[in-house]
Amino acid sequence: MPAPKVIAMIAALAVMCGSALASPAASWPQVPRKRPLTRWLPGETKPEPSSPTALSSNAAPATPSAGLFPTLPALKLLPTTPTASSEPTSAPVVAPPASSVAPTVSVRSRLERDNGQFHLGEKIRLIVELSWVGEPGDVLPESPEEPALMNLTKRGMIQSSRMVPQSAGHAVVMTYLYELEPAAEGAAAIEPIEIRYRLRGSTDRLHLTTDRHTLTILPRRKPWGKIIGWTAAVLAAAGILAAGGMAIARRVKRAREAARVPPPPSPFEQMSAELDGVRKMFTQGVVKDGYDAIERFVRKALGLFLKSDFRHPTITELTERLAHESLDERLRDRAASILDRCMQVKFAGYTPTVADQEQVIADCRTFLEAMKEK
Amino acid sequence: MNPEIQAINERVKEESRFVDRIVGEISKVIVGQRYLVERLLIGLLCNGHILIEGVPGLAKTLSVKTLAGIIALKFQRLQFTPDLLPADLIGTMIYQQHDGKFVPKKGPIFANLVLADEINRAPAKVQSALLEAMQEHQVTIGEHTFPLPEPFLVLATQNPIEQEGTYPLPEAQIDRFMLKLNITYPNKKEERAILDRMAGGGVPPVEVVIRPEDIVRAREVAAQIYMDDKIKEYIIDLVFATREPKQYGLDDLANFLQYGASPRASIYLAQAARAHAFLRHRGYVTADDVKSVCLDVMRHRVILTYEAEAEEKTSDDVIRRVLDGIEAP
Repeated sequence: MPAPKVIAMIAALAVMCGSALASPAASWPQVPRKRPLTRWLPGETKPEPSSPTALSSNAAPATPSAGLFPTLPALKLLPTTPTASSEPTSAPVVAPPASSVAPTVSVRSRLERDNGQFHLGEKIRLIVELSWVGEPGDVLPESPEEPALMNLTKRGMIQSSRMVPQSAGHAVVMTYLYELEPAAEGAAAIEPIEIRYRLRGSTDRLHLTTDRHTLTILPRRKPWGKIIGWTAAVLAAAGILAAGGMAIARRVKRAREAARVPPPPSPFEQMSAELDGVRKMFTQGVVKDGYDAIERFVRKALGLFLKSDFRHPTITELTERLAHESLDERLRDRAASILDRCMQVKFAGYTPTVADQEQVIADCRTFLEAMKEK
Repeated sequence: MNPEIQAINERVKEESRFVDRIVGEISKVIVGQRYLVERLLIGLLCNGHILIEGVPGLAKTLSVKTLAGIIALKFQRLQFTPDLLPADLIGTMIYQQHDGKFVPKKGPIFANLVLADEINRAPAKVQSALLEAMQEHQVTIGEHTFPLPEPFLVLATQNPIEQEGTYPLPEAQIDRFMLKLNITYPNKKEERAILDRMAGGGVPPVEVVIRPEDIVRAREVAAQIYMDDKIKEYIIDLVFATREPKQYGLDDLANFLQYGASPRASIYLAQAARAHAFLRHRGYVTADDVKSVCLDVMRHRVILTYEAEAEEKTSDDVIRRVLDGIEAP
């Protein structure tokens, strides 16, 4: 359902409730309220309950200067003549009571902002209040006529009513909240609005007129918030992009550096280098340690190629494990044979000849080639 | 190679030929259990007795019986029970009515291979009589002392389950066994081979491969196998590490070991390592030989603390830790 329709329905309901409450109100028992059902509009001053100037009762009508609007200047009694005013908040216009028991009805209009300066695109709120002291049904207002606007557009109107407790009785306030919007830069005005009403038990139509309001419409405000927000967003995005770019650049740099570092040698290359080292030991006459190195070579080569630890197992255990690794029987035997020769040198005091040394190196080379092919 | 070592090496190669034949013959009957067969041979070569621990049905008796058949040794099996008496084992004096004299009646212990089944079910006096015979290699019945036949090897079995109503062997007596073997279940492949082999029922016959005198000669050769000083030091280190683990950087074992291995462990470890080298047709001992037999020689010679039991550490765990901690030469 569109919002204006909802607002209109709420307003209609409020009017109906006000009308319904109006007539039987006199017969209702007066229950003192601890908390007054009062809604104060923006810019209003809450009356002091103990103030001697507060409205007391219908029988003793309050003076215009003391009652609902104690901060306002003294009221001018201009019952039918509209009052033009450049003041954003005007003094209430008061109609004299029709009889000695009739309530005093007053109207007041004001703009939400005191200085009357609005920017293009801003909402302008005009608050028109019709008030009287007494019961809600004492005064029966009619819907106000459409305001005559200069350089302004009406967006909607909300009508509401409230009761303001007084020391004796209530003050009833009917509020008409006009929402307006500037049409263009320059001067603007809200012409007086005529508000018609009847008093209870009377058929006479009375009316009150609000003040004329002049406004100055300034150019549209620059959307600094949006500008700052967008700027911050753009800067943040730029920062993120820059950080991402730097990270990528760093990664690329690292990758390039890594590409420059030579890859670790393959097991075959590594073991070939070790075997060359052993050969050098033999050439230098370091035979016994050379055979120790041969034993380490075989165990390490098996470990590197089969990705397991073969440093500690006995030759028997090693052979069994190699069988489990599905290593070719000839390779197993070759490894065991090399290790056996190492054991002879190590534990049987065997001094290998140069031919033995060359043979064991050759066997190791063959073993390595076979492991590589596997 | 040193000429002496070279000579020993050649002789070992010559004398150890029967090993492969024995293993081949046993494998006709027994599937797997090469470990058991090799340890039995080590016991025979070192003149040491063996304590076997394993659940029933792992072919312990069959292995020993088959080995006896292959070497043409006299085999006796003794089922130890709580009511067994020493006389039932070693023999007694029998009264001969026709001449009114008491004559010795030799017991079943007079055999080359004696299988003492469930040794911990007999009371201490029977165990003591057996262990004395094992140590002295002779038996006294009445006033007569009889030497036991050579080779003489006792294989005692213990069941690790059903400990109720048993007489556990004292540590001092367990120490007299050279090796303690833990027999485990065969693997899946072996189990299948057992199934196929035993489908026909009955045990395949085995041939006599060697004579007892060959074993005695092999013992002499095995005893001459060269052991390098590095190996001797290694053996000493292993044994000492069980006594003073902290000195060898094995601080984590200090709380687990109540008593370390005895000097008998060093002796047997050296002998068993030599015998292992013999089985590998080598005239010299390597660190591999020591490592191979270390668990079997030491597992019943280290006494663990309550902390070790609480941590569920076995003597095998401790010895493996020692082997890992002591660098082999």
